Amino acid sequence: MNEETKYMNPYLAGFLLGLLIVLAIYLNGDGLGASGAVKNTVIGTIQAVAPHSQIPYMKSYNATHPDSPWKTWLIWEIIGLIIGAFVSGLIHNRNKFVIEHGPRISSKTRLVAAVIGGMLFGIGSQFGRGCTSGAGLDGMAVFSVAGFLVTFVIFGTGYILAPFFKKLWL
Amino acid sequence: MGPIYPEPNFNLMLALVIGFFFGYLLEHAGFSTSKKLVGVFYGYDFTVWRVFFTAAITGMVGILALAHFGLLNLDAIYINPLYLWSVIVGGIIMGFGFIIGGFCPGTSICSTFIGKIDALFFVIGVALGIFLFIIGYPLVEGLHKGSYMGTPQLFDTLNISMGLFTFLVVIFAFFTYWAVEKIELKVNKGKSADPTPKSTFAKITGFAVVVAIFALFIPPKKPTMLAEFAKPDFGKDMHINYITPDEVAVRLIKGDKSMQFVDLRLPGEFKKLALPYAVNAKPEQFCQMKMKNVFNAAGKITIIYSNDDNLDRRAAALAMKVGYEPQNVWVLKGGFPAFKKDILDFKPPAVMPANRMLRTTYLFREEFGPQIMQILKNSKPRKVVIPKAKRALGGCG
Repeated sequence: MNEETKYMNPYLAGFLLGLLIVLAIYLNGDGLGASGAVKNTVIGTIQAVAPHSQIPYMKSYNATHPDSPWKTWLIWEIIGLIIGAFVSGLIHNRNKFVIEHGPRISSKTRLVAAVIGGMLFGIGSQFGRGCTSGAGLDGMAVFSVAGFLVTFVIFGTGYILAPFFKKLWL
Repeated sequence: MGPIYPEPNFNLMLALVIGFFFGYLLEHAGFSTSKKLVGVFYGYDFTVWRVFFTAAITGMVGILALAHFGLLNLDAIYINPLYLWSVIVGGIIMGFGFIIGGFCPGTSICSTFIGKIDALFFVIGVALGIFLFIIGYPLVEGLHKGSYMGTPQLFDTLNISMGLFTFLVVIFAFFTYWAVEKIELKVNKGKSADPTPKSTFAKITGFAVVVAIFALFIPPKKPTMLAEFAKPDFGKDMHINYITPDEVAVRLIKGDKSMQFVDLRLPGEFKKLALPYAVNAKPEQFCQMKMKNVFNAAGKITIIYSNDDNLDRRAAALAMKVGYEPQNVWVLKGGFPAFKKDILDFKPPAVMPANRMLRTTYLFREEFGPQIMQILKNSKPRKVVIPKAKRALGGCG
């Protein structure tokens, strides 16, 4: 059996993922998310380190969010996601420490690119009010213009840039 | 009718379970390796496209079906708000992040926990990026909060039904599956990244087409808000913001630009005399684009008035119920008649009252009444929102 056929059929995976979004919306009126959980983690950490932070954003956040950022739906969802990914990796024998990188770059370059890419995604997700999951996928499932637009722009930008970053991947 | 909002602690348990399947599916779909993820940009592996698009159309059909069978209240679910430029800028930055980093936040977390060190670095980057955003927020607040356009849904923007829109997107999705396969075959020299056998794919396509046609015939059941609105006591239990004619008058004199007016009277009355730059509309039209732009205008409050206090209250309640910001919806106390009597045609009593406050008010009215009349007369032309046949109002989706 080769590498690719070990993965789940993409249409089945997409179908099940779609059902999961519908279930989440049926339960809470809101879908899945990822960047939101990272944001809660960042905010929770800032609150722990500097409870009376004078950062304007934190002041207004603390004033409008009396509850802890930790005991939230998104954080628990992400804990579940971590377990789910780990279990799937375990079952399908994919759990191993590795730095994946393109053939023309070193591991170090890959790690630097990963941090930069992550930072950009983190910043972008705040302007987009969600990442590929919360803004793109959920947004499309509820027919929102914002969801379709952000998906279109993320992937559109990716396609425009792809030729310039070929060295990182191919 | 959903959403059902489970009891909080139980809800966190459900979050854990839903998250588990989310993580399992992402990992097992192949999203736990950046090689597969960026394949979509170089044409050698469109798995991301297939999974992502299939999830989106399944979600759309699911939401539509739940709404049709009365199981989900579409007014209560979260529709992503559209801050036009913020979304575009955010999308571009995320596009850069995707092609440089090779992950998105959800997939990077999954990958980290199956041992991908590069994914861990991406996650750290995401946290750093969000931290930078928080620190630098004052610099970008204008962009982040600007160009707010409400919570439009694409079928409304295109002015087609939810079912037809779903149908078109499903058909489009399957067209793209066929097209990306062609690209893969070309890039990989005869090899597709899709393991689905041709016969199975044909069956899936057939099933999707049936579902798409089905979607055409299941209109969402929307709560008939207008029927509720027609009842005289609609909105009685809601908090309504009232603004007095005197306050409006003072703000007009000061040249305050943060007020806008919605005039519910008959077009004939409206054309004769109305508050500055008022928009003439019926409550039934509150979801039309024109009215969305009024109610959602950034930094402005919308003041509703007519000749009927009860109508004003019900209209304000309707505006809030269909989703406009409650703190921006106001009612002119006493409506246009009160404004006319107290401000425009104000006749001071023969004997000035002893109460100082009241006396000041009267003096103000007497002095500025004619000036305000001039402001009103100078503020033509006046727009009447053209009524448009529209499905039952259930919320400004």
